[in-house]
Parts: sequence; structure tokens; C-alpha cells
Amino acid sequence: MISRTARTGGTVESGDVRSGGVQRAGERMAGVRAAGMRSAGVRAGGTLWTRVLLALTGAGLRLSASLCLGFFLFHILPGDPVLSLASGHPVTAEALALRRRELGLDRPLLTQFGAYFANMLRGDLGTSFGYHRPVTDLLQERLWPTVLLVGTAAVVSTALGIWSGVLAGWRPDGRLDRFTSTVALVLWATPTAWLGLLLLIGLGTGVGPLPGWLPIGGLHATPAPSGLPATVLDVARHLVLPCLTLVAVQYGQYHLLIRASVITQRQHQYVAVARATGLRDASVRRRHVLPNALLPTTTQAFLNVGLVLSGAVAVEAVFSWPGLGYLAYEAVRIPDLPVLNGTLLVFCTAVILMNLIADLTVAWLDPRTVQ
Amino acid sequence: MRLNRCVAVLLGFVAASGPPAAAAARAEAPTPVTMVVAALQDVDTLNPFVGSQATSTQIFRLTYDYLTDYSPVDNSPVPGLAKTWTTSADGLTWTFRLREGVRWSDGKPLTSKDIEFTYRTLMDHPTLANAAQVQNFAAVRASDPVTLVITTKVPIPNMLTLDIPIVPAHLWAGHDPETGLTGTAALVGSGPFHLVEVRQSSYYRFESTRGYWRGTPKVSGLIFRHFNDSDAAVQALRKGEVDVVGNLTPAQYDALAGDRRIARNEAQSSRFTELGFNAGAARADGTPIGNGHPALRDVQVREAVDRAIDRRVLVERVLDGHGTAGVGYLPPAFAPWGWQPPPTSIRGFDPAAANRILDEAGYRRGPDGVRLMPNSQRRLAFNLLVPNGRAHYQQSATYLTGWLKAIGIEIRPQLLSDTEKGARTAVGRYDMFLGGWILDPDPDYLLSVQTCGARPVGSAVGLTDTFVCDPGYDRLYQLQARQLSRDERARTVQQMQQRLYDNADLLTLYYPAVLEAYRGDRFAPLLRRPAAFGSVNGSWSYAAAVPLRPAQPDQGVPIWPLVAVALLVVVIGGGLWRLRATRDHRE
Repeated sequence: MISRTARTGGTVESGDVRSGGVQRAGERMAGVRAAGMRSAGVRAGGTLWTRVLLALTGAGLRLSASLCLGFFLFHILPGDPVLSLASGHPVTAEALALRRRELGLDRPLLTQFGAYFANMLRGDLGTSFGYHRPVTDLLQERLWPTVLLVGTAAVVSTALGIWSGVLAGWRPDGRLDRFTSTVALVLWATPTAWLGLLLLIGLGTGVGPLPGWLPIGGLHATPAPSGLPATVLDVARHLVLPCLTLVAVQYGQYHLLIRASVITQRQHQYVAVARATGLRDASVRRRHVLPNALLPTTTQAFLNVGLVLSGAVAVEAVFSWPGLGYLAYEAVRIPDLPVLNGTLLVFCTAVILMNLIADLTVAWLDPRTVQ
Repeated sequence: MRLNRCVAVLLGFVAASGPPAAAAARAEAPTPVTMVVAALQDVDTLNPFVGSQATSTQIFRLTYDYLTDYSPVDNSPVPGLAKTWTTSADGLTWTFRLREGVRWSDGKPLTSKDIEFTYRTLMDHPTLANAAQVQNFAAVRASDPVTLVITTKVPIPNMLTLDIPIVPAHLWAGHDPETGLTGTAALVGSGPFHLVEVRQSSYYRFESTRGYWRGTPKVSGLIFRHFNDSDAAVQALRKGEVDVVGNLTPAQYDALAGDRRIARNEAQSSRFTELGFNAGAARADGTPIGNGHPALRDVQVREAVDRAIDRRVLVERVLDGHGTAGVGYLPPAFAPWGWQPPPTSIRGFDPAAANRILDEAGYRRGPDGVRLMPNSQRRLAFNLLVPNGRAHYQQSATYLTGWLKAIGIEIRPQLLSDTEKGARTAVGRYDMFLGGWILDPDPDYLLSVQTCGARPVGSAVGLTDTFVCDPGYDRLYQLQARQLSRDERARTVQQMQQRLYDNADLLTLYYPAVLEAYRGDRFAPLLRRPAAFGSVNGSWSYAAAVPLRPAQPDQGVPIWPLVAVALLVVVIGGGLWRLRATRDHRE
């Protein structure tokens, strides 16, 4: 993660120097920024569409390649689903054999693969071994809680990271920088499950005089209230702790990333020019430094949304959040092959889609990358 | 301006998040009491023909009736839907007289037709979850609405402990039992509780059935709340969000000791942990399979291993004292089936004797201290499969490695998942393994996995645990299957365990206690099954639970200090912000 961050930061930095930071800053100062963007868009018109098309094709290829790989990887997972589902219960050997045939596990691997792919193209992801329900139903049920949790956490942690990172990078090694960067690093290094459990004990159960005013896990109260406003408020209360945990461990990387970019930008002359014209520091930061410093963070933010969809397992486990990550984690135990394949499809799509969006957004934000 | 709006939103949220729940509880406090049970396993399905997870079977016990039940006192069979029963002289025909006036939750009467339908469905679909229990049924006939006649191919000793929920024939007829019912039809049952709300992976809500034939439950409702993490469930118990939590770790259980609001229960003798050997894995026709170490086929090596193990240390250090040392296959307290060797023939902890046995049998020590097989250079180095699902396996493996090293046996523990362990043992690719079983009230299934017939046929997977094949044991297994007198059968079952012990085919290490806790301030002591040392985590205890007082609302959340703190933070933060801004400006 660190190396990728450094690399992305490096590329933009050198690009900036090449294209002449001063001149560019001058454009921005004169308020030509928007116009410059537009002209860049027109100039790159043909190539941009080609680029989109190419990117889409690439994404499709990548998706099918990962799904093929996943299918065979899941099949070499240790464990026999028929056996592990029957373990500890009175069964007969004939029933086991029959069950294996029903699930189609006795057929050659390539036949199973063909059937899986053909069904998937028709939108049928099979029936879960463990839950005895269509995988598409399970995924739909679990997708929204995960998107809600991960989405909220992504928005909050990006905003928080950018805010604290800009302030820290403006005066590197100042007292504020030392404090916020230490906090961000420590939180980033904290094991998610452990932090979650601490927050759950502190704010959920309550310690000493601290009252436990937030619920201990789950998506709803038991029983859930009826009516839309009550439901929204109820889910929001349940969202606080898991979201806080995710934000705490995630925002650090945005903080560090944007801090580094701001430090670089700070050295450019356009900043000095801007300050010399008498602009307040706050507006120099916001209007001139931040837009230039945001590029690597944009990439990182999109990539993270894709990754975190699968990576919230620890939070979903501690807070009993009925999400996708935990569904996949539990499915490995059996192994519940249809569920594993289904969740892989969602995760891969998320990562690849977010990569695609990041590519295109960065191209739109900074036309230099298209050339 | 913008800041003020933020404050308003923040305050609104803080104010709204606290009191409503408490206020609601206060308003409707007097009568209904709902018991919240922490479910640590997800419910796999609500279809009683396929569901097999522990939580699902617990739900079936709450929402359906069974032909007969277990006595909460001693687990012996007691009337369920059947009031009385008779057996023919050859033990092949059973006639059950049913309770009258039992109704499904949709109002239709429950008759012998429903039981006939349920059993026949299982007989026709051998892959359904409970089908193995009816595999020896020849015919099931509802001769009139309150009489059911079952004929069997061979005598079935566990006929009175069939674990098969009876489903409503009028709803299920014509449906594929694999797919099951959907919508409200799927929730129709006849048990002490009925399901009213299902949110998969969140919670299951039940209401008690008024006028249930065994008596209306004292609690008005029951909620199974799903937890992915048992530490979180314990926190919810402390806080009062849940009332019952089962399957605690020794550390969690001990940490709850000081809390006066919480009652704890240590249920004994419902499971055991074994050290299994590969004493010659083979298929049912005798073809050897796998790669087990040949030395383990020698009963003297297995006995020496047994004598090198200090079980009391395992119980004290690994289980923190929550359990008992293992002897026979089934726990001695598991009456009437449990057995332990007479004091004279018990193989106690005695490393010196273990060394002597191995010396005399010709297993001399090699240069590195590890023994060699007689007339061979093959070292006594065994792999030990250790499932990573439970911490006590890993801890026990560490002790075993040290103890066996002292008698010249090298152990190489291999940590793996439960499923991988299952897959390795099924094909005999192991030397030793650690594993465990949970006991049903009837021992038939656990006895059957040690018969020759449980070994794999052809390339299929068998049900065997350790590939034991002892014709003498099998004869006794056949005998107990025909013994309809509980006492006679118990004696045979004990003889079978004697044979297992004498052959040292597997070593029972300990019987871990099942650790449970519940809110003693909200409920009178819950019912244990069996009464002397059993678990409180089951339908028998929920249906009989007596709420102590009308539900007390949790202490009202002191909201004003929080609001004050939030205000303070915002004011100070805002002030600092302004200060910083002007400082920048000054510069």
C-alpha cells in the first residue's frame, strides 16, 4: 500500500514539474483553469473516447480472467462441502453420494466450469450449499448493508483525511502536523477487529461513568422499529460504531497521501505568488494547492472503495453487520462454492469498475495524463 | 452559519439516539416479556427437511412438535404428540396413540396424517437432513386420526428419540421438500412458539403459542439475535441487550463471575474430545488406504501413548478446570449409556510404564532419542492433525507433543481447518488427529461411526471416525439395536465401550463443559436438561423460563452531560478554528 502510494504521488509530482508548475499556476491564478480544462477536453476528444472503449474492453477481459482463476482456486480449497455440511449428523454413505450428484460435484471440473459460466451469463449464480437459497438473493440482501457501511466510511474518511492532511502538510513538522500525523499513523496501524472491540466495549457497553449509548452490533434494533423515519434513525445509530472503526483505520492513508502532495505543492512558486498577492492562507490552500494535490488521493479513494467492499470482514464480524465480506468469509468454511463464486464476482466487479472510474476521472481532472 | 447548522444536526442526532428505546420500554413495561437469545451461528434455512445447523434445529424444536420428547430430568423419552405407544413382540411394529386437539398455528388440526406425511417424505428423499433416521422404516400408516402405525425392517432402538419435526401436510403436500415453502406458509408450526418475523443474519422473532398443549410459555416472545462474534455477544449480555448466551470460552465465562446480574451455568458431559489413531485405514472390503504410520497398528504403541498423557493437566490448564478428564468413549455421567473402566484396569498417567511397554515391544531409542520400529530404521514420528476451529485443540497438541517426546515419540502437529481435517481423515492420510463430538441424547449414531460398515465403500466417503473395525464390537452393535429394554441395551452399549478402550483405538482426552450465562436479574433460574448437570440453552428452557419482574427499563441514558460535552467541543473547536484563520491572515 505504501509503495503504491509513493509511486502514484511521485508520478504526479514529476509530471507537474515537467509541465512547468509556475506557468500552470499562473493560469490557475488568472482564473483560466476551467477554460483550460475544457480546451484540454476538446483537444483530447477523439483519444478520450478511444480510451474509454479500450478501458471498458480491458475491464471486461480482466473480470472474466479473475472469475476463471477464482473458480479453479475455490475448487482446490481443502475440504469437501458435502462432507462438512453433513458432519456430526446421522447420515448414510448413500445419501452423501446422492447429495454429491445433486450438487453436481461428481462431474468433471471442466463440465462444472462450463455450466457455471453458461449459467452466470444467464444471470443464474446457482444455489448456496449452506443456505439452500439462490446466490443472487443472498448477494442482494447482503450488498446494501455493505455498500452503506463502506460508502459512508469512505466518504467520511476521505473528507477527514483531506482536511487533516492539508493542514498538516501546510506546516510540515509543526505541532499540528506532528500530532495529527502520529494519530493517523497509529490508527492506521491498529488491528481493525481489536479497535472495533475496544470501541464496542467503550461506547457500546459503557465503561465506568461512560454510558453505553450505542447499540452492540447488528443492523437493526431487535425488534426493528416500523416506519421510515424510525428505521433510518435506527440504522444510523447502528451504523455509528462500525463506521467509526472503519474511518479510524482508513483515514490515515488519505492524511499521509495528501500531506505529502501538499508539501510538494507548497514549494512551488505559484504558492508564493498567490500569497504575495495578499490572498489569505486558507484560500490559497483551498483554491490553489488542494486541486493540484488531490490527484493521487482521487485514485486512492476509488481503489479503496473497490477493495474495502471485500475488506470490511473484520468490522462486519465484530459488529455482526450482515454484509458481503462476512458472507464470503463464512462460505470458505464449508466451502460454499456458489457463494464464493458469487461474492468473487461482486468484489472483482467493484475493484475493476472503481479502477476504471479512477482512470477516467483522473484523465478528466488532469488532461496531462491523457497525452 | 454553516457551523451552527452542523451543531444543530449533531445535537439532534445525539438527542434522538438516546431516549426513545428506554421510553418505549417504560411505556409498555408491565406485562409482556421478551427473551433475547444470542445465536452465534447463522440459521441455514427454515425448511425443517434440510436445516441442519444447531441454531436451525433449535428453532425447529421451538416451532414444531415431535412424536416423542426428551425428559428434561434425565433425557429419557417422554410423550410428545404421541400420548402412549406399544411395541409388538418382535419389536418391528410400533403403534402410537396421539394427543387430540393439537392445532397448527393456522388453526387446522394436527392429525396422524401429518406425521405419516412427514415420515414418508423422508423415506422417499434419502438426502434430506433427517432421512437417515427413517432408513429402516418399512411402512408408516395413519390408521385413524389419532393412531399411527410404523413397521420397521429391523428393530430400531431409538424409535422414541426421533429428532424429526412434524410438518403440516396440508401446506407441504405437492411441494418439493428440498426447496420448501415460501411466505407465511413456511412459518406455520405447532410448537410452543411461532415465528412472526424473519430477518436473515439479523434476528428471528417468535411469539408464544397461547394454549399450547404443554402450557403457554411464561415469556410472551422470544428473539434469536445473530452475533458473528462471541465477545460482542458477551458485551450485549452485560449491557442487557440479550438475556442468554451459550458456548462461552473459559476466559469469557470466568470474566463474568463478578457480575451479580448474570447467572452462569456449566453444563457437563455433552461432548468429548478424542485423540484418534490411524490404526490401519481401509475401505469396507478391507483394501488399505491412506498413508498411516505402521507403528500405530500395534496396540502397545497406542497404549503407551495413552499412559504418557496427563489428562488432569489438560483439564486444568487447557480447559481452565471447566471439564472432566476423559476415560470411556461416552462420559460416565451420560446415564445410562456412559461407561468407565473398573479402577483395576484403568490406564493411568505413568510415563515410566509407557517407556517400559515400548522397550519390551522392541522399539529401541535411536541416536536422536526418538524410538525406531523393531528391525527397521523407521522412526516413531507421527503427524497430528489439529483443527484450528477451537483454541483447546492447539493447546492440547502442545502438551501432547511434550509428553510423547519424553517417551521417545516425535509429534509433528499440523494446524488446519475443520474441513481440511475432515477431508484428510476421510481418506486415511494422517497418523493421529484431535477431534470431538457432541452427544445426542441417544448414543446410536456415535456408536455406529465405529463399526466396520462405517468405513468407505469403493471411492465413496465413509462415516467412520478412526477406521475402527472390530467384529466383536459390530456384533454388540447389532445386539443393542435389537434390545428394546433400555437397561439391557445400556449394558451392551457399555460392553462396546469396554472393547474400544481395550483396543485403545481412540483415546478420550476430556469432556469439555459447555459454558453458558444468562441474566439472573431478569429470569428465575433456567431449566437444565438433564436437571443435574445439563444445558440451559434450548427449547425446554426457553418455553419454561419465568420472568422475575416486569422488564425493567435499562437505566435512562444521561443525555445532558453528552450534549454539554458535544457543545463544549464544538465551541472550543470553532474558537480555535477562527483563531487559526486570523493567524494565517496576520501572517
